[in-house]
Amino acid sequence: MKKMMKAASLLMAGALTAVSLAGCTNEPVQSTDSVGSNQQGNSSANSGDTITLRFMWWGGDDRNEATLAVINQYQELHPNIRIEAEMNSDQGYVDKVSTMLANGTAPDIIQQNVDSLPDFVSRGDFFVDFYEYPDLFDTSGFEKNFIDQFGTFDGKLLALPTGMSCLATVANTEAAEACGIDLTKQITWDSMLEDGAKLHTENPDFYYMNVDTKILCEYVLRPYLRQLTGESFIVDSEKRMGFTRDQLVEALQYIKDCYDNGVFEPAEDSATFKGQIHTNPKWMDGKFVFAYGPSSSISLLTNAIPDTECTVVQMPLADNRVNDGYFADTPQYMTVNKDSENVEEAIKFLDYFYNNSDAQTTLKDVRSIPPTTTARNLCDEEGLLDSTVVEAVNLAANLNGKSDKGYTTSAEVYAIQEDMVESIAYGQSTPEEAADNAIELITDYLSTVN
Amino acid sequence: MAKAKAKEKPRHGGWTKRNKIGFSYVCIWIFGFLVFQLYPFISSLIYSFTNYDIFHTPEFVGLDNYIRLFTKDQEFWNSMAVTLKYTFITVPGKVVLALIVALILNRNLKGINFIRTVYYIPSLLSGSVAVAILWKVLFMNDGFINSLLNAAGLPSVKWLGQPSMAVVTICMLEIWQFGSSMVLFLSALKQVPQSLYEAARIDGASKPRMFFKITLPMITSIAFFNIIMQLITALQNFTSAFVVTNGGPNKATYVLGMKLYTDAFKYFKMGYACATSWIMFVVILIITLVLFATSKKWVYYDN
Repeated sequence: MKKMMKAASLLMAGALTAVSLAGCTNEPVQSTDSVGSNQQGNSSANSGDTITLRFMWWGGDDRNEATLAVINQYQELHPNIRIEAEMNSDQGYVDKVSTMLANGTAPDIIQQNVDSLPDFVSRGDFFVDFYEYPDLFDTSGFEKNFIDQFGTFDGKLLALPTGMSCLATVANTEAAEACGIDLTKQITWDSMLEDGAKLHTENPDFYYMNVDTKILCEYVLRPYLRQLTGESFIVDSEKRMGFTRDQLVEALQYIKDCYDNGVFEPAEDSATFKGQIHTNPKWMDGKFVFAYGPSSSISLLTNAIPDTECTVVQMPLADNRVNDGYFADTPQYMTVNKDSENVEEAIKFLDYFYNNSDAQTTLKDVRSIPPTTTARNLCDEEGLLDSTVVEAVNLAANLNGKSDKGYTTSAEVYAIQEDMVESIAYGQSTPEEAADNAIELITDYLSTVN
Repeated sequence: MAKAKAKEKPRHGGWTKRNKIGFSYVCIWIFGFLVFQLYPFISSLIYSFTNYDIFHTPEFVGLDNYIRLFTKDQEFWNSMAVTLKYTFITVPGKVVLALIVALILNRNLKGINFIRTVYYIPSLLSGSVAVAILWKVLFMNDGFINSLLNAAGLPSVKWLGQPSMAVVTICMLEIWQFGSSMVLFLSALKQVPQSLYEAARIDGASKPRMFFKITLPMITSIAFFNIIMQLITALQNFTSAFVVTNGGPNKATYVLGMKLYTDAFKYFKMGYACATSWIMFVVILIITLVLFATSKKWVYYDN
């Protein structure tokens, strides 16, 4: 009995550990939430004349419905094409794409996260260059400057921007009025701290800005530094940090002051809503005056308070800024997998997706303001665009900040920024300690990148 | 002559039809073991000595990954501390709770089988993402648990927002799933000879004394098995930390399993993650061996 127990326990110890290690192999990942718009047919094999394409994206209900409708339109026009829709949430999406690319199981058409795409591009030749297929994909609808800045890597158009977007400050007009906040006044970093502190002192239940620690990296920490330095967080071409220790300490001290003075809700309270600040009951109860969010998801914030009028205001701009720090962006990209067996068919579908008028009016602003001038004009004429989203993008269009997608937004550097902000938010580190630690980690990261 | 022939015959009886059928039955398990356990086990050891980003061919780097883990990676030590904290809360908590419930259920009550089933249900949901999400909702600031506390006149607790409480919250999720340990304890309790209790009763022993002097020593072998199994499971925890808290707040629940996942699939450092998993394996092995070494002094086997 004793020996048997001993043997069984040791065997189980070995077996269980082996199973944990199994997670470290590059076995293909099952796409559990894949929903085929057409239930028949193998995803990659052609049966007879039928060609099957796999199309993967993430999004909410509106985006899913509109995208499926466009797929159905295309299938009706092209009976030999079947498109399998693989709908996902944004949670874990990037991890899934990376595993699929590594294993050669990636779909033919893939929606990409703007932060992670440069990382994929730097790691391999995964995506089709649309410029190589001028007869199949018409790029004339895009403004040249726009696709040069978003989607073009070393002269190759590897990704198509899905829309024009930006970071937005959404204001709850009723809360602003009740708290005496003037929405016509340009917010500066100083005014945000001053007004927010005053608001919380006078109304302890109220907070100026609805944020979480991840949002703070993109909406406060990096823009603050960009306005201060005029450079990206990391200057990719020179593989160096675009700020000094003192400048980083200043930015972190600002975030600390905002937490200490009640401009932001304490991190302990907002932690539960990280990544989903629109679900914070205080936002729903009108206890925040402002919330940060991408223009492509403004509806999440506004729909959470359907009876309240919301508007957008300009992002914070320092009086003595080197540049505006903020910029117009794209919310996602579309790419075609270079290993696809049906590259040309995938490109033809995307041509329909971007350039056909039926597709344009169906997709409307489900991926923010349409990226092509033809789609924008058409949707505008038909009144299909959300005026709040249009306003947010118009505000950003006048800003002269420069995109910092690249090393700055790689998962590892993003995590360093987030850890830095969290350690400040939870009072675990002083701004000086957090800055020193982050600089050490970023230096180490930069020494390992090719 | 006949004796000599019998000696030549293999102990398993040779490649007989009966043995072939038996072998075909275990073939499926052997295949699964070789492909899904042994291969990853060995390949992860090889990858742990390489720089492997899953997109390119692994590049041999010797012990660099291990040296970096021990000398440069602050997160590794934080994750190790969090994992050990999680383990040393959940394992005693789960085993003690399982034993208490097993003692309560080890009696002939009306509908006892139904009650035992109800207590086992959480274990059926073990490792489930749905349960982890349910847990998150229950323990939100304005969730069900805080509503109960408020109804009882107690203040709300920031279960998921406060770093010191977040790890306790995910420990509670694990402890709640005590069903399998409880079932093992129940079967062990049933095997304790009644004659021992009768003799103790005749000698006038109290119930607590009977528990500590008869019951507990007689079930130590099962307690030992439960401790080992729960220890291994706890040291490898991933799901609850990933789904309920995503390693936060402020890395308070960033267990080694999460670090391993993040390094491998977010930072594309597969070789480094494999090195972490081998360190985890060695930690599990050491703790298991230490327990085995001490077991001679406190585990009783009746044969």
